[in-house]
Amino acid sequence: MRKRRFHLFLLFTIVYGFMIFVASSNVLGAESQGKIVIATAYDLPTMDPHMHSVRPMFVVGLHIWDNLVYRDPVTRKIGPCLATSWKIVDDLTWEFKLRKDVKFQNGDPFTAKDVKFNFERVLNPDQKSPQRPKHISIKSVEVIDDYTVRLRTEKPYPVMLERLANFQMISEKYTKEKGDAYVALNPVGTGPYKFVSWKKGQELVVEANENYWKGAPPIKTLVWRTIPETTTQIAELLAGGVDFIESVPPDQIDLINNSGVARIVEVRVLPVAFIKLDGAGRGGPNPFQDKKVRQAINYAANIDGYIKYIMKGRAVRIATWASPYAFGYDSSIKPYPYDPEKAKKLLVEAGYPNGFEVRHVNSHQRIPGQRQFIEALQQDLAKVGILMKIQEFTDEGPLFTQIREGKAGPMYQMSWGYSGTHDLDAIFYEHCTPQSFWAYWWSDETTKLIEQARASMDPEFRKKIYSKLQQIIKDEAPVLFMWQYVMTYGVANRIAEIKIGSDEIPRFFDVKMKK
Amino acid sequence: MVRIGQRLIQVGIICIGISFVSFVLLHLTGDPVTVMLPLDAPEQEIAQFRHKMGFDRPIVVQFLAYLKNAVRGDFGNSLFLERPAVSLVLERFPASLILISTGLSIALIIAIPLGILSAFKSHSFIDNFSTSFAVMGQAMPLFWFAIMMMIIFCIQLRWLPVSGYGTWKHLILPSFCMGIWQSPPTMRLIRSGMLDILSQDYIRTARAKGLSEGKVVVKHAFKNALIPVVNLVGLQFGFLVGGAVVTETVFSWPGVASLLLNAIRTYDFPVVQAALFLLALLIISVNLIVDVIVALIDPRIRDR
Amino acid sequence: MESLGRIRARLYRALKVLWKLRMGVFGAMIVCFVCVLAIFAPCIAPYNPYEGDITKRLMPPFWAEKGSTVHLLGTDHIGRDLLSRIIFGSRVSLVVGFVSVLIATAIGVLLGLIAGYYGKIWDWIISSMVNIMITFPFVLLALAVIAVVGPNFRNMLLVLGLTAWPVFTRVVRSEVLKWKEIDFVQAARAMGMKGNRIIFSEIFPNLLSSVIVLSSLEVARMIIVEAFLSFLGLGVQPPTPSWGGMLGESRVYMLTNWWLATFPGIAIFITTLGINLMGDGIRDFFDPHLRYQFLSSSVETG
Repeated sequence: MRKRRFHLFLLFTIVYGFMIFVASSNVLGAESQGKIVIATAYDLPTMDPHMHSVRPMFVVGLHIWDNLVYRDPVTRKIGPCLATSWKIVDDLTWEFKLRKDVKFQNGDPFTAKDVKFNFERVLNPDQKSPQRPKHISIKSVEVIDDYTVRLRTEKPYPVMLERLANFQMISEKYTKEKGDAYVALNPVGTGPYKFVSWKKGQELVVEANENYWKGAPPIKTLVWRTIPETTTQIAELLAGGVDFIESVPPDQIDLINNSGVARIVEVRVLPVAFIKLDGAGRGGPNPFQDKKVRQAINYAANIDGYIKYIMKGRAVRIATWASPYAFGYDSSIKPYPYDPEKAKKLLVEAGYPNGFEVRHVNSHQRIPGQRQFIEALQQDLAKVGILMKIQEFTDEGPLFTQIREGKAGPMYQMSWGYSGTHDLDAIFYEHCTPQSFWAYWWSDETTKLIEQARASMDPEFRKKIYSKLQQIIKDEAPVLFMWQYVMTYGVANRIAEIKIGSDEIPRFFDVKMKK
Repeated sequence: MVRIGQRLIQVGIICIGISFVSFVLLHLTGDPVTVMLPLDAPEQEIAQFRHKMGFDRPIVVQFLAYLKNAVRGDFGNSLFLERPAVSLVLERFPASLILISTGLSIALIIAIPLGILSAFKSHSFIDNFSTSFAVMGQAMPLFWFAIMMMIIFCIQLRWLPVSGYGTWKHLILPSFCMGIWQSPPTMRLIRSGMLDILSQDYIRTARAKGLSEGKVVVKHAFKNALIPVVNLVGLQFGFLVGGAVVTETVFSWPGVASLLLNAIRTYDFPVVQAALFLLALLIISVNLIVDVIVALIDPRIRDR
Repeated sequence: MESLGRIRARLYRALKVLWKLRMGVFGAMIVCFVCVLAIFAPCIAPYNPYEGDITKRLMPPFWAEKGSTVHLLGTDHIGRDLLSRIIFGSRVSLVVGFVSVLIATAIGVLLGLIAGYYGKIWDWIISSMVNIMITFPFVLLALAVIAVVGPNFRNMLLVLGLTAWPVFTRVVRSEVLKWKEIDFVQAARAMGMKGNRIIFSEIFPNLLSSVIVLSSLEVARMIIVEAFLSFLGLGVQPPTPSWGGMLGESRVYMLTNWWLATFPGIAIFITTLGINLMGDGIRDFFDPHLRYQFLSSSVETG
């Protein structure tokens, strides 16, 4: 009798083994036209385009609504959209001419009054829009006539167009009539797709707007499905359940490319990665207050190695935190080489011959390869005597609270998207000036330079200043410099061609399907 | 009657405990005001908000107010979604209920026959098979099993959709995973319960009287076995909610458990509290119903 | 001075007992094996589990195409040797299992003894607590607590221990109730022995067998719960190797690098199987029916 149990144990082991064997092979197929299904890892918070700050909703935003200007995904240049032309009247005034005969999906006409309403709504402190800080430089909007507006700014605002490229326009009449609560569930815009239904936490369905001013989009239906687990997203892509997923981890790229049903589309995007070091001592005294230590850590990290082996080439090495796609980027500045000996020497000079212990904080984000590379960094730092303890916060929110209170660090993992603004101001101002809670290092010299660059409308002048700033930043090494991201998207093969901008927003209204 | 009273007290104690822990956690993770406002709100706005929300009152007063609101079902808004935490949780309740009850049914369907048979034919092939199955089933983590099933049935064989919610096809795999995961401990409990009953005097008497095995089973053992089985259902419900956390995450099932997990991750404590509260109410209600059913079928209690 | 014959007879008896319990012995052997792995890990493991070579990431086991005998079971996502990590992982899993069960047993047995022996109000309070804790999955609340106070080792052990004690209390309490009425206990009470002494000298030794059996089963369960916590990111943190942690990290890799999930899974499987078999064996050993058989056989040869 007991012997039987033993035989059964063997039997079960064989069954398990078989399951594993079956599961490690390959196969698949595809589905129908007229519809594209997109996976998103986070729930969409609201259908009100001003009341959120999450990227998946910005993607939806670009499909249901229009902005004043539009960034071309291939050339990265800003071109007309709801605004047909603009001119700089003087240092503090911009004049925009609007497109005529554009209607909202409910029939309301789009006019200058709507533009004024939109800005005032976002800038109104009682509205509590998370996007308010992005447009705070705009002081007032003046309606000149039905199709002309003037935007007045506090100080010269060179990044105006950049910011407008991601600000959706809603209808004044509709919003005032129905109220905020209704609008948050029933969106109406001027964009290529109109709202059909939204099952919260599950899926959002939109349908082509036949009367779109640019012409109806090629795909009739778009569905955004919320699928939180990466493994499940990949499984769905392979099984034909979804057509598009984001942030494919580098180690799973081959699986998708070899599957026969989907492929990886790679896009070099604006965001960059770096590790903040608490140079200002906001969290208390720590070794990074010494420039030599900060430089040492840059020498000790084998960034090129991580890019090659962990990110599998899906990242571009950069010298500082300036993104190559941002205005002002200076390509003549070279990154720190990998030199553990030099790192050790610098540590000794700084007074840490035996290294030290330090805490690294990161949040469970969906940046591919993050976990793996942090652990690899841990190994490399250990080789020069720096013991890095990893603390992972369960999500971004808790980490941001710590950052704000100065308690993050002394090392914390950052990826900065510049809020979609392809201009170096969007990183220097927020990360290197004393009043910003993101900043853990600054100096009087850099602060002065940053303010100068902000306040000028002269591109050449600004470029010169940013070059100087990048040189200083490289030398001071307030962070561990890393790379510019190359985002990996899993795309079903039935989508023959899709354009994804450096702003990480795929344009589903502009796809070509396989015949 | 006594039972109902007992259950109500239990609910009360659980809910106070949950509130207390949620309250403490909310304040441990930093100033709740800064969490609720946009990241760069100016100092003055923060002070105003603090006063408006009553966060400048003494801690004990805050806790009591917190408790009072909780009892009325007002847990405040989710810290991230500007909507009442309660409605967020209630929205996702039906999905979890469907998943858990189906999973439970499947577990019972597997466990009851196996448990009873192995108790009867103690040490036979069936017994060995089921006990081995039980021991091995308990050594397997649920998420590993779920992902394995997903790989085999959805990617390789393409019989079922990978994830989502809506048709019976979506329900099959998640509920099977839960059911199979829960059947080993259930089966073991039924088996030992059955063994207990079979060793009772009245069974031996029935056998001694010459009744056929079948009659013994049906007439005497089975009816009495029903009581512990029904009791089990109440117990298992609690475990299944735990298993739902994993299953709902892996299969993107829009239920309360995955909402709870997400809320814990993002430190959204109003939602955590609302979810735990409502889950506690659910579990206790199920147990209460179980108590009532047991009272009805157990002649000892019924005749009192 | 015993004759050789007697010694031989005793040995023979012992072997017969062991043979009857061979499944339990088999389980015990597995457990011993795992303990040896844990204690002598630095000598047995071929590599340092914390050091990896990123140029050798994700190598499959030696029998697969790109594998090599340099890394028998392959490497993980940072190039660390999987076999070494599994060997060292036994330490974490065993410590987690044993310590949390120790905590649970200490609390649970104590409360069970009090509830069973002193009865009345103590029983009512303790039994209510047990009922509450068994019905509601306090693991969920524990998750929230760990997420906030930090998923470090100590917190995890405390939380696991604090959620597992009710099972012990229940069993101990019912056993105490059974034994309370037995003759020699009544006799002791009649003789005037104080409550505490009775508990410890008379009742407690009889409970030992059930408690030991239950503990062993709970250790197995704790190891699985650790895997559950790691899946949620709230278990043992990297770079410390733990089977549950390795399983959790490997879930994306289940589609592409199956060995990362399979081998830790097998380790958990074998260990929990061994513990369960051993627990069953211990229970059978203390089972009065079987004891009678052992005793009777000793009477024959003795």
